[in-house]
Amino acid sequence: MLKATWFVLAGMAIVFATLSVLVLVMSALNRWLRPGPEVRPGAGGRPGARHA
Amino acid sequence: MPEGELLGVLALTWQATVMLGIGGLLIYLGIARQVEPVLLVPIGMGIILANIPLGGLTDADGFLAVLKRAGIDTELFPLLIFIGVGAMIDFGSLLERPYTVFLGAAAQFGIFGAFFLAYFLGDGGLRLFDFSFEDAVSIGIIGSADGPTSIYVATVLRSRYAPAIVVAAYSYMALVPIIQPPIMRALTTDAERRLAMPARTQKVSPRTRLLFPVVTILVTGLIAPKATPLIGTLMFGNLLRESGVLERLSQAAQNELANIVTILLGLTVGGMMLARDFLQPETIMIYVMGVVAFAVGTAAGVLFGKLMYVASGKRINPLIGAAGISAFPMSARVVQKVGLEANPHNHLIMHAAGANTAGQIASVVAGGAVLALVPFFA
Repeated sequence: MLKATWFVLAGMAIVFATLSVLVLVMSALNRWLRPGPEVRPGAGGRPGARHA
Repeated sequence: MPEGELLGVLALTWQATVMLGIGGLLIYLGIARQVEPVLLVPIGMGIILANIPLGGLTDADGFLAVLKRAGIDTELFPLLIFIGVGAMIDFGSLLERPYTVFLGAAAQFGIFGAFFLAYFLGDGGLRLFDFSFEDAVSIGIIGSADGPTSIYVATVLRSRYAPAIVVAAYSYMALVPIIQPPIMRALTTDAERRLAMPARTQKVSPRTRLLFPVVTILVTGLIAPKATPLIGTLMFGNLLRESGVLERLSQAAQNELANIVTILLGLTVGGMMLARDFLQPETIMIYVMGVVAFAVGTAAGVLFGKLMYVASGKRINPLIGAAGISAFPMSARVVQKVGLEANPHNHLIMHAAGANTAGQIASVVAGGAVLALVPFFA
């Protein structure tokens, strides 16, 4: 049963390791690819438009 | 009357009669009780077709034998099903709540817990049942709560109990609303169950959603390469969904492909349930192990949820850990229901869906992990 115990530990370690790397990579990607702040309607792009 | 026409009746054994009854029962459960009808009806019909004496459907060139060689022995059917499953799943709830991935990972302990028990009862300890190391692993994989992964692993490991394992895996998925709630209530306090979680989530860009299937294949394939066929087909289906330009293919994967393969898979699995192989004490024990696998997976998910409850400063409801088993979307619905019982304003469904989709990926990774590890341990 000792080898069964090691099998369980190794299996769970692979599952946690794989998903940890996946979540790290995806979090980094999401931070990198995050959409920029939305332009508020009416703000326009012209200087001074906000105070017009 | 020609003698041959009566030979079927004369050749009918009590074992075959029992199997015909089981086939009828599955069809009844599917149609009258609506228990996983999509699978139980084809499986039930497959059992009946295979166990009619002298029907010849499981002979070398019989219809069911040909389907088995083409779709199960080659591991083709579960992989094709996964393309459809991937196209159906929205991983957005997981990407918006990345922490739920660990609940999916924790719930896979059900696989390993059931394996440990099966191996202890079999060749590894008491020798009460004829379970080899590979059989015990295949039985444990019922805990993945994932039919295609169960079929894939049991087939690759050449377990003689593959048909019983597959039927158990699909049957227990329908029983998730019965198996999970008592365990969830037993392991959590009323205060924990009442905890409402904020709707605020991390924003996910469309490009992240698009990259997710590709990144998942790369990460999983490079760490657990044996999981590549399963994760590859699952994520290919998801790429069809998320690409935004393959709507026709995505719909075909979700509907035509998934439906056709489900019919063929169900009939074939039913056709593998022959009386001489199925009516053994080991089969009954496999069904018991199935409950153990689902129960241990649920308990592990909830206990990990409790750990996150404490670590997060009481901001994560431990109930969502139960959705870490990949019975999608049943276990997420169960979490929502138990949460609402404790607090009528507590909507946990999206958080649970994150854990649930994480469980889908985690169960595939666990399947790949056991396939990679078996040669070193068996």
